[in-house]
Amino acid sequence: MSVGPKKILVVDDASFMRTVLKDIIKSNGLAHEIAEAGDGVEGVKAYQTLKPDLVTMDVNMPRADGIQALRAIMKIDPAAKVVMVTSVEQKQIVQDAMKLGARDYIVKPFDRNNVGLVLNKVMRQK
Amino acid sequence: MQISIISEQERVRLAEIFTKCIMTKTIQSLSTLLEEQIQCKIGKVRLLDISELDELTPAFSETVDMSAVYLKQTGDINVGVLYYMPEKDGKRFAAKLLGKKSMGAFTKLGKSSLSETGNILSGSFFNALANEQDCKTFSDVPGFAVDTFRSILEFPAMEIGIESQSLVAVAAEFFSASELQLRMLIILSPSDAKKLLERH
Repeated sequence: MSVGPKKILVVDDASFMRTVLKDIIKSNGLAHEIAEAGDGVEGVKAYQTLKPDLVTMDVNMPRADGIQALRAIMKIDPAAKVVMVTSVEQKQIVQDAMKLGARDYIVKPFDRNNVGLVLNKVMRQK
Repeated sequence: MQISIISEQERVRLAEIFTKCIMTKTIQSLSTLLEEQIQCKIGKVRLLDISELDELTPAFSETVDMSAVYLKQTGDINVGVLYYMPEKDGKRFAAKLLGKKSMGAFTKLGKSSLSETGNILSGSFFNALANEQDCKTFSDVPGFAVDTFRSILEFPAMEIGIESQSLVAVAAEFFSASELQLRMLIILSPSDAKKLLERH
């Protein structure tokens, strides 16, 4: 399932969730470099510095939340590939995020196979 | 402040609502997290005076410290949810989540794994409650602690029950196939319990 040398930025305030996502990304061979950010503000800064191929963005975070950070990233790079990470069925938030330009979403707790499939699909999009 | 009395019939209805939310969503989320089958036992809905907190204390907890995660939900109603287990079980639970055989002392990542478990289980429970009762709530940041059960319970109990000097409480126990056990205590004020019932 490898898609070559790629960079993924994982934005989540919970170190546990970042660890789980990194593990899924590694085990699916989705990236050669995985960077982390602990909140939305750090996430936007890291995006500008790293220019990752894909971002996973938690919705609920302190400082800038996932929607604010998504909005900022889309302003910097309208072609950014951002996958939102939500708690169970936050339908309205997911809809808002998709309107803002998010490519897809994954739901906590993670189904590892599904997360791998979604990230791989988005990574391959133009 | 006059105590808002909850009738037996209202308690039964509350038990039905909580049971449905736990059985449809919370168990499923815990099962996905642990990658195991989960069994659950849900207690009766109780109305307690704030001075009767000891009645919520499990017998085994008097001699051991608990690892616990507390989340407060605010919105249409205010509800406190406490997830707890003996400290050594908490370490086993965190180790399982992190794919390790054991955990000596709680690491930052271990604490994060338990806090996030509380966050995810509450997310699924309150999402089910929103669907069931059209009751929207928002979660605070989870707080992790290791202490005696009484010390851990005191803050949320006072926060929720200070105004009415009473609490509506229901406890649930989750058992995994690998013998991990997690307890969930839901507490709310009698007036919030009534608000919840009125929303249907």
